[in-house]
Amino acid sequence: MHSGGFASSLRHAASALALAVATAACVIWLAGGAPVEALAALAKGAAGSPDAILRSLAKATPLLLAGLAVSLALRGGLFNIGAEGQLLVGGLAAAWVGAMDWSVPAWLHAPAALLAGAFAGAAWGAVPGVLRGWRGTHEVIVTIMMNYIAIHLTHYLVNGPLRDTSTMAVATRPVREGAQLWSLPGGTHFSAGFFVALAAAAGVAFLFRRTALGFEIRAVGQGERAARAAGVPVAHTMARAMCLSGALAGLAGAVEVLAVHRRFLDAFSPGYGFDSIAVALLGGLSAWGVTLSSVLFGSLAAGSVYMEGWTSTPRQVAGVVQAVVIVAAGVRLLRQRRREEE
Amino acid sequence: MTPADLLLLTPALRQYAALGIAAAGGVVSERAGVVNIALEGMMLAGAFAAVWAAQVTSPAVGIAAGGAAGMVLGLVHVLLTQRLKMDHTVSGVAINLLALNGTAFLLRQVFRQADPPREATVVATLPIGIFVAAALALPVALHLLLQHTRFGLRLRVSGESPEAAAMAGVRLCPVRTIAVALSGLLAGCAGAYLSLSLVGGFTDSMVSGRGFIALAAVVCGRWTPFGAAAAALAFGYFDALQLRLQGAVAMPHEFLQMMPYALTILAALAFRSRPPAALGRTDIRL
Repeated sequence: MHSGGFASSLRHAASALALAVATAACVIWLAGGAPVEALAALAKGAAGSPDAILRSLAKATPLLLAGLAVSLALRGGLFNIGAEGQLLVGGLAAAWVGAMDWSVPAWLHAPAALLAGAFAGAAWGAVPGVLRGWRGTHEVIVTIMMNYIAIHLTHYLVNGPLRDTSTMAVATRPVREGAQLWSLPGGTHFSAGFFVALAAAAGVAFLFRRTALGFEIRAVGQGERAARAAGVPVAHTMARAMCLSGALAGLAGAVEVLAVHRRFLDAFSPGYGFDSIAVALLGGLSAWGVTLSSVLFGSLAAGSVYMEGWTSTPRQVAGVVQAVVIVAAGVRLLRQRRREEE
Repeated sequence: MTPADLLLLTPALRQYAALGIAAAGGVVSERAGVVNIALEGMMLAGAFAAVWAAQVTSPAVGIAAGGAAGMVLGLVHVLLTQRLKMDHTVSGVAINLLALNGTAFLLRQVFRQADPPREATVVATLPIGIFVAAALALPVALHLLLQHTRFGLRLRVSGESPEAAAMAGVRLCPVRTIAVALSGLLAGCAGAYLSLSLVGGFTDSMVSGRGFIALAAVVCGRWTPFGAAAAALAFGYFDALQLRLQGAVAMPHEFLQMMPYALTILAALAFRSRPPAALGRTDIRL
């Protein structure tokens, strides 16, 4: 699929923003609300002050990592609907490693916890990848089922063996100081996680531009049969793509745990894994596009919470907007592909 | 535990009714060549519209409204995948997102619910038996439709070999439109069953994955009406079983709750079969 440059990504993000505003206004107006007032509140909540901008970027952080996950798999023609489950197990693994009493140097603790999250996510992604590669089992079905298994498994672990019994909250023990990611004081939740996510975006861009694996993933995405004829090991490539995708989603969970909650709270994700599908599609599957679209959706999320508080317009408007933006992005991708063919 | 308890007929059939009706919808759409991951959203929209209409008028109108809501989303799916040639899964994801947030939004705006909302309830629920009977009869009706009518033949050809269909003078557009609209209608009715009969009200995201499980039942049932119904029944049975086993066996209940999902993966592995040849293709001229 197409991966545009930075300028075209920016142009698409701007048109998506315009569409999002128009849709939100229509929905609020149709439901009998006051669109101007609500949208003003949304904008203020998303970018009205330095704190608001930081809050939007904090919201964008897990969306960027999980969006990269979905986009990476999609370039290999694989639909990873399972980012949510991968994110949950990744978060739990990071919390578990982060809370360990370790005699290793403190600077190693955070990277180790992040790595644990990525590994757990990769393991969760490997199951649908291997099944698809060698058995042809549809990855959409398997990833959806793996989501439910992850929800129940983490629920069990955080209520049972890993539960911190000293608090009322259903959560694991807090992660140790050495394992926490740096975050700005003041409750915006902006953290070093944002830079981890940017580094991951650069890594994904590098993967597709410079490495053999990136080339193979794209080849499989453009057509299994042709890829096989060209000597690409299709099954291996699918499994690897799903592992990498799962690792990125797991990293999203790990970052959220280590930087924001500082422990694994039961059901901490408000659906980042599902929103990331929209992020990936709007991003046009390029790493830079995904970065911009995650910031857009992060702002939308932060702004809609603010809007709900000040104008009592339900924040779910943001979700309706996301759906419309996906449709527009899907149609645009298609036009682009057709133009490339001609 | 007595043998009669192990049969778990009543709770299994209760779950089956929702899954079976939705899975029938999945079969209709996918046999026509249109991937329908939007079953989940169609069920949710149906569940919401049914409660809304039942409150304003009567439960019978509620079922019709639920079906109609699913059908509208079905037509949106047709528009996106057939006219605009969008990827079927992408369109489905968008429709699910729209239904999930749209119903949550309307629940707050229309019913003026505070957040977190109390659910919108219905005064009198419909008897479950009606839906169970319908869900059991549906595979037979669908089998007859697909295998023994001219429309069924056209529908299957449209999913297997659209080029051959076009060559034989079959107009694909109406066939696929009717198929996906019918799919939405069935999914919407399945949602109406959930809200009007099984639960007696609407809460946010109350379908909770049943649409996806119905889709898995379609795949495990090899895209046939009876196969999908059997898979849906099996899932309903295992779900009832895990509920019953909670407290009866010394095992964390979360592991029992995982069982139906894990078994679905195993079933998808075991019952491998070829999907309709043109399933999900977007390069077809209508």
